[in-house]
Amino acid sequence: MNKNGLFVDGIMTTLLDITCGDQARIVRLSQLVVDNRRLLLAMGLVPGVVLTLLRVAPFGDPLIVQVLGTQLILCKKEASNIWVEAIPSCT
Amino acid sequence: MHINRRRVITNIVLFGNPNVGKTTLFNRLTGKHSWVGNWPGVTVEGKCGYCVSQDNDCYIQVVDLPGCYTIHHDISQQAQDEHITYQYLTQTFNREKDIIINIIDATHLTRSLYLTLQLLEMQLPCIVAVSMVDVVEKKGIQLNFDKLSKQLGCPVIPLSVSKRHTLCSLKASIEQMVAQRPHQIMSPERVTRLIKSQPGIVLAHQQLMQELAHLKESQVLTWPNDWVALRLLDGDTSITKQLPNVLQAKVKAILKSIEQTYDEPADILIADCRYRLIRHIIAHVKQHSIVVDQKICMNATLDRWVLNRWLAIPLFFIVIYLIFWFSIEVAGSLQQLFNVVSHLMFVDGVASLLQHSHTPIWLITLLADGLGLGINTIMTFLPVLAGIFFFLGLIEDSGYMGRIAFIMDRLMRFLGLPGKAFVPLMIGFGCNVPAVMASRTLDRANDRLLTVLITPFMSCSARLSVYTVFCSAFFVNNAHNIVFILYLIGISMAVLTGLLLRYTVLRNQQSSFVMELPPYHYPQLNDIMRYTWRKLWGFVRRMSRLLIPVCMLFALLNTITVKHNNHSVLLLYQAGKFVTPIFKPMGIESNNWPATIGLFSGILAKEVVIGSLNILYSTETPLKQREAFSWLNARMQIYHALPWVTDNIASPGARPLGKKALGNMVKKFGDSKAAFAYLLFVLLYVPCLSTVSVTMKEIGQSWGWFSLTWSTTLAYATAVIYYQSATFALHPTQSFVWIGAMISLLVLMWCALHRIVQTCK
Repeated sequence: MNKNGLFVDGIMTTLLDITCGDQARIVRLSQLVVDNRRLLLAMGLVPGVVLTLLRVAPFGDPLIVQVLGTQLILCKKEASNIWVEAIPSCT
Repeated sequence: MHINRRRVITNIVLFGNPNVGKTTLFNRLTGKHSWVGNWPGVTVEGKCGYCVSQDNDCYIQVVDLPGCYTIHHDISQQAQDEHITYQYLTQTFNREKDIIINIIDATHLTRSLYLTLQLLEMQLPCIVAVSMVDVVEKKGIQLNFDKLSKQLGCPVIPLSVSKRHTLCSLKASIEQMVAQRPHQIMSPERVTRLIKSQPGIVLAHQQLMQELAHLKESQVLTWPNDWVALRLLDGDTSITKQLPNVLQAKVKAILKSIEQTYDEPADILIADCRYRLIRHIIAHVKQHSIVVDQKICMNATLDRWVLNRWLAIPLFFIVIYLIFWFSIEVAGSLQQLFNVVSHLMFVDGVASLLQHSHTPIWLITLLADGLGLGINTIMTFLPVLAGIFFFLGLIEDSGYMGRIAFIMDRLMRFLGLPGKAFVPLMIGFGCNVPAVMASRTLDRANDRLLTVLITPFMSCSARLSVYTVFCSAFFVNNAHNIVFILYLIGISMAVLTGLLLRYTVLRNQQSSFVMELPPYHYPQLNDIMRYTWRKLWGFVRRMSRLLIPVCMLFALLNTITVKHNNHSVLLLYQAGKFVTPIFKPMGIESNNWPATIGLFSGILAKEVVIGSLNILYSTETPLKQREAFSWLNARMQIYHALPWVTDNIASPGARPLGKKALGNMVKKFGDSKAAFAYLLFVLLYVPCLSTVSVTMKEIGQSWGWFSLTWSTTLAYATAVIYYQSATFALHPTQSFVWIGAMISLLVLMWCALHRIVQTCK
């Protein structure tokens, strides 16, 4: 559990470690420079938000995540700084 | 600006996320009364226009700000759009008179409101216009705009852009605000209301407000105190910098203590506050019913194919191929017609008219061969450019451009470029001119610059005409291999230059790559036509300023003759003969001077190379006689230039060499090695004048010259190195010296250019 009052039931992993189609909740954004973080925050990537990993690019690098009804393209470097806990899928 | 200044009642500023329908609203509001320029100091297009008020009595000036996601000053200035917006809102914007129209997207309310809240925090007078209302309603969601207005504390107007009365209500709202001027300062509770959910931020905010109250002289005092305090907590370095050192240290300490107590930095906490407030607002405003998300479904199905891991790249190449096919083949078939007709009109026609009125020969040359030829060159480009820009507009408008960025990102990151940069580079294979112009689709200045600098190495279709002729003379059996190798060499030189630049002058600061994948959008023909027209007009305007004077200069040079062995010979040709020894190391012997002059004419346009080689190798009597203008002849020429007439007798660019010229050329070049070296030089040296002038306009004089010098040096060095290694066995010592010299020339050149560019900075 972290100090912010967010419960971490699952194991915390980075966005890179979840598979396509999985849902996850953002736990924290680490080690991003303030300037880089700002855009992520404006796009809705804040701790507590649930996102879905939709697909991976042909060359394996940028990812598409769905967050707040928008699809965002994120590159691996950013994704590796986004810590999430996986939400077990309902199906 | 041709409107009466006194009757402008207000400035309105259109502001919002990218792709929310800002441009559509701008076009609806201003109609034809708009103009496009660059924002001061940067090459980001800004649009400005005006509309008439409801009673047709006065004007409202409309400014279209670039779309952005957050109001923020980026110190690295990488995100120019945000920089411009920030500068505009904090400096240019007159908070007592002007009005902001904040356009928010009903389908992405949360994210749109994130920006709106930041605007309201600044306490600027604004009207919120909600777009895509109909899309949301189709999904079965009702929005209560009155409640939204109450929650936000500013007028809210639903826009369904297709309907006229929404414009009226927008104008009415603007006029009502104008009537109540000066705008009252909005209540300062906004910020307090925002941060109340985070007690730590509230405390720090109060502390900073007190500090700011003691501040005497600073620019920050022109803005509301509570906003400044909030921005300081949010980590806005441009504001922190304006504070005295003592206070700066205090801000730092406060930020640090917040991060220690709450385990999250203050800016994340503030973002969290904003989202909490937004959730609260949306809960009040949104009335749900059944959600059937058809559009998302359609998007998802399309993307399953378009962004498929295995199909995405083949599909992308098919799209690019189709664009090429349409613009180079279909639209390009009109090129000949444009060429012949404009040549008849502006060159032959003008000349014969002037001859009839007994104008002096030099003036005829200046007007017909200079001005006329310049106009002719520009006209010839128009069909292909129109085709390419139309498709460029189409893929941008439909949302495919965003997908290209996704597909190609990894590949292009090798050069530190975004995936979108692949498109201008591909277009470069057709024609370098639109490729350089298409680099505007990139967001960051450095990326644009790099793309423009490496584009000329993409071998364009005009250069292909030179290759084909040479291949038919020297490489009959493996012509396609030679052409393929040339293309590959061009690409590798582009990559080489790109890498060199990336690791020296244009080092990229690591910035995040986050982009919204825009939903597919049914392309609006009207908007695409407008885009194409704007690009074409921009091309004509910019080109004429540089190309026409240079054409006139060339034309004048073309008339000066000198006496040589009792013949009068053109000075230009004499000069060609004179400089030919420079090209000896790459295999052009001194009796092969037509090849040199071919290179010179290639600076004007690569299509001309074959034409001039044809004349020079077949006759070697350089004085050209002007043909008498006759209507019969003109009609024949136009007839043969029609796209549906298949024999291209009249095409001067693609005309293969005559038999005599071909034999002469083979004899003078000697062997295929020299010919290949020549082709290498043609591939890499100065691109055509049109590309040069567009490049100069796009990236500035100093970078333009850099591009010219670097490409020519690279061309010379490559050709010499190739020729000397190919003939190494004949004269090992000489070859060795030449190769060594060329490599050190390249290194020296690079160092010098690097130095110059850095001092220029």
